[in-house]
Amino acid sequence: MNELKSKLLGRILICLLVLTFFKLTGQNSDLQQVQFGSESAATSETYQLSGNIIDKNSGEIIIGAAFNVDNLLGGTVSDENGNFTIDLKRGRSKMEVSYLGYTTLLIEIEIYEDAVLNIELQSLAVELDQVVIQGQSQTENIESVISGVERLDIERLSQRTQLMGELDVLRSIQSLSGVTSVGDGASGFNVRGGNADENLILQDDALIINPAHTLGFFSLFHPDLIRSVELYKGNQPAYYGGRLSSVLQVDLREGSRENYEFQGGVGMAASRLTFEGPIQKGKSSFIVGGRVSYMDYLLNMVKNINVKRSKTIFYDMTVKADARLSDKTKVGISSFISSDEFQFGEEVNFDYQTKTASGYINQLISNRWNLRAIVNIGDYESSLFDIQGNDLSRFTNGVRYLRGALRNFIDVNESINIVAGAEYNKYTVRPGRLDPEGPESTAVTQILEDEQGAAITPFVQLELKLNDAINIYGGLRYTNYSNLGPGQVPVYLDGVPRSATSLSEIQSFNDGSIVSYTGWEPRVSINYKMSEQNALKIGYNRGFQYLNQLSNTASATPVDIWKLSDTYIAPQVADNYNLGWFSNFNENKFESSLEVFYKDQKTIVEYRDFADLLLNDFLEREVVEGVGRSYGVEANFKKTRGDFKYEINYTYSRSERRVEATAIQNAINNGDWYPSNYDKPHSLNMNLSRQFGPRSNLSVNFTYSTGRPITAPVGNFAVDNILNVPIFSQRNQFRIPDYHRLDIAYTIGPFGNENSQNKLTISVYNLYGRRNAYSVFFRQLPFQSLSVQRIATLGSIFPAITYNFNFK
Amino acid sequence: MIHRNRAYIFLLVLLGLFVSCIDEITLDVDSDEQFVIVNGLVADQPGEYSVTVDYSPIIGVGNDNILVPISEARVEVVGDNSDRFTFSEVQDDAGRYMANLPGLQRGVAYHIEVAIPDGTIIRSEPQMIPKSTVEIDTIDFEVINVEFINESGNVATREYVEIYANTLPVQNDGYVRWRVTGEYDIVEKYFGILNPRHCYVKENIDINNIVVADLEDYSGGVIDKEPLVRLPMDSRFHILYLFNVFQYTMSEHEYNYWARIRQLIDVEGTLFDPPPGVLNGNLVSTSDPNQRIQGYFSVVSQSFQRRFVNISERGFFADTDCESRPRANNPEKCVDCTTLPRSTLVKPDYWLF
Repeated sequence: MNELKSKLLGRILICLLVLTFFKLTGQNSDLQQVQFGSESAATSETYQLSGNIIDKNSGEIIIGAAFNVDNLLGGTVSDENGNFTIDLKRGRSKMEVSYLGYTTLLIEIEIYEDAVLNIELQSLAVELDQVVIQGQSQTENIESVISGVERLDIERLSQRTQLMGELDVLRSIQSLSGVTSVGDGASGFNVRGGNADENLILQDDALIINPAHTLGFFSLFHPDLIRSVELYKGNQPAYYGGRLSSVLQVDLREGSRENYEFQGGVGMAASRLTFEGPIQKGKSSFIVGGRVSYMDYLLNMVKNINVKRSKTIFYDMTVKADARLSDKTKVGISSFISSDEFQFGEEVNFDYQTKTASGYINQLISNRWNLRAIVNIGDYESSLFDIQGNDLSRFTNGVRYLRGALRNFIDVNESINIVAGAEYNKYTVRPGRLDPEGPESTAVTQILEDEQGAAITPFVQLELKLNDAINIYGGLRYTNYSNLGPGQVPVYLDGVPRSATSLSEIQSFNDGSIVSYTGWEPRVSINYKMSEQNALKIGYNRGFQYLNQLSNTASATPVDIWKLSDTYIAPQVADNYNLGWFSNFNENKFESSLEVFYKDQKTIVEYRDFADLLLNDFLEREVVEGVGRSYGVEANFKKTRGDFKYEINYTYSRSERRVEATAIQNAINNGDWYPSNYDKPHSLNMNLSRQFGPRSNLSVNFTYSTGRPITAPVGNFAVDNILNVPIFSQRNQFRIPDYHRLDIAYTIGPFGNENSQNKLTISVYNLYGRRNAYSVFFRQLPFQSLSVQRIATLGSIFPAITYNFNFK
Repeated sequence: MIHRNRAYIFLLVLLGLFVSCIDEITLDVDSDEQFVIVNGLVADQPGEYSVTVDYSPIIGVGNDNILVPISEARVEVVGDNSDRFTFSEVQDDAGRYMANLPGLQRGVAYHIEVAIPDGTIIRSEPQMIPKSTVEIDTIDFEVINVEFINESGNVATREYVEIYANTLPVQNDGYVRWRVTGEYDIVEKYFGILNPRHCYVKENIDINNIVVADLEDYSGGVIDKEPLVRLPMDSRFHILYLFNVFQYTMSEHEYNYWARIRQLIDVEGTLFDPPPGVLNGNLVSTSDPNQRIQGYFSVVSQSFQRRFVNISERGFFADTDCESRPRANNPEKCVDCTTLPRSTLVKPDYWLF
């Protein structure tokens, strides 16, 4: 009996061990079997298998998943919509589907006809952030045809600078090579010497006009909803356009299709909460995320009566729902609202809001043809309220837009991919209106006429794998823009500067086109893969831009006006050239690259000295036309795997402008080249991350850049009762001091159980308290010498603690 | 107005939000450029007018703010109607040239011609004296409380006297600038004084204060309660204070010039400041068109009003600095009021009491 018992126990133990073994190995691979068609009906030697791959829990598409087949004609990877197409030999094959951070799936396929197979991969991420989901393959930088593309996943984002503990997209991308801003607190960012308005900023294909909260210290993007961030710094895919410098695409993740989950964080500046779950289990999901700030307590610390009485608040909310209607059809909608409000003492109040909504449908037309249709509407409005004095008034302006795009992704064969379609963009710009506030106000209502413009742009893109070494990408867009009526156009006398005195008449236009511009936008990139770990890429890209932000300040502000190309303000046109060498080594553990770029801007819009841009019916009198150029070299070095990872990049770049005198405009700086406001020749970024076990991470960031250009006084004079009026130099002839900063962050966690995960981040921004000049100005009080004053907005150490949680 | 406040708002919100600091640094912006500066004003009212001609100081060399007077210049104001007025250099005030002018004619354009000893010939663009003048309706005042942080770091208030202007309606658009000067009387006081004397003291109270208006911005073209100048309610208001308000109606070009000057001197240094630019007045060098000439020659029509302020009328009181104590313990002005700059014992004929 005892012997029997011990034998039984021994077998149970062996069974348990075997089960455990299988369970353990099963985490790394699952085997499934599928059959398509019958052998008797088969007529061909090869068949095409296509489909879509998604995360089993969240339903999110997986980009870059690898499909390798044992006896096959080659592997493939899923495209940006999660679609794949692969040719299989007739009969039985074994296909391995893998993606880092996911269970590898083994499928035994018996195929006798063209077929569709949709695949769901199981994430290994059983704990919050424990498993890193990388958004790109290890050789992406070598394989991809287009150079100058930066892809940031949550891991790379979270290792970067966090002001007041807030993970932030805008702040993170400024640590990439070729990306700068004019200073702490600037609303926008500058890519390879381009203006802030030259960046196309998209969140799930919805246009974002102003990406900044709190003037620019935080960005609009909710960190818990971000799946990945892509920045195209040079060449852009043909289905993007309308901006000269870059495309920033922030992809939001989909809600979980299996479980209801809460996620959030409590920080010193803001808190956030996300709720997600299935609408119909396994088929559709929703995700809702919101943030709200509470920084007023910081204002109370300041010994200035007006600041004490000031307030600042922002909030945002994102709602997203996705559903798979069938094996071939997927739809989704999302909506985003955001609001910022400031009040300074009892003097002034200003606010700005973004509202967007978008929807998409992905339809698999055939095994090799996927159609994606997108529609997006949105509105951005800012207002400035003067609440002091007897001229109480509110100034508002904004932009409303309607966008639509149709993109056909066609895999002709293993070597040729085509994307073709068209996009439509319509903008309605509200240049501004001033309204009196209250019956006592003496302000006079002023309303500037809305202006409208629309562009329709068909495009085609071809990606051709010529052989194992050469990949070619070619794109072509034909842009057709019209400035639309109804509207009024002033007509000026020829050959003299545009002014009130040279105004000859004002023409009125009804609905329809007032003026049109058309142009071709060719794009080409060639990747010459010299070896498995070395590639040389060359590219050219032309772009047109019709929507411009007119600003006569060093940095964009939330209340800056937007201006469409019209009779007098021609579209901005730029040619981008780039050449890059990419090299990986030590089994792709290290990545390096060296890229050079040159941008030739055929037309730029520049403000004249003392331009008055607000509430001006005649903006064409305030701006001048010129040309621009920017050029530089970017060097990157990364260690991408292991407990100790790092990224180092250095950029040398210049950004210059030139405005020459013509019959209708004066020159700037005597018609010579001069640096733009964001010309920063040297830029160095270092980002180090050290993992200490599964629940402890230290990241360190250092950044350095040359000070931005300024215009400084070269003399002074007195006039009437005004003493010490500065006489300024030509534009941007001097520089503010250089910028450098060190940040560290230490994260503990995640800790908890399957249903509850917690994480704590302690961070210090500006560790050595460098008083980086946010700006420099010149002061000369009566009977005193000229002094140079530095303003440092983040001129001290900023420690912060942030608590993050996730409940299922 | 909103336009003016924008840069200021952003700066202060940012400063408040992020515990910023302002400190002085060194930056190599030295330049050896020197500019000729010409300033002057003529109006439709008869009186004595002056023009100054100077070189600008060189930044970083000696005192940055002392102008270098240019003597022995030839200064003439010329009208389109062939009137020509010559200005003579004032003795003991080098670089200042004066002339007694009759009221210049409205609707006639005038310009200035200056020839300086180094051969530079300067001329202004002809500007017409406006045909109509925006007239002052009333000048009034208010006592206001302004909050500030005192030395202990607490919020405190201080009383100020603020004067403001109201104008009469006009038919056409117009551009206006105000200048304000002040006068007050002070009586000597100390222990044992037998015959205290009154002094009448003139002072400049609007240094670096530019107040301009474009009537288009005002409902009905009427300016209502435009604040002009604000003074702390101190001993100068003990007896009587006089504000002399000059209201100039000027050209759009001149309005833009002053608005730009204000833009230059109001710079707060933020990223949101309008960047400075090269300021050109209405003066050019005919001998060298590339030479930058600074300053402005104003051609205006003028409205003038005096406003006496007796704060006791509004129930306020300002104490004197002078006490019935020994002479040595009193400020010098209480013992001998003529030691005050620009003071006189002669009572002006326009003084109230």
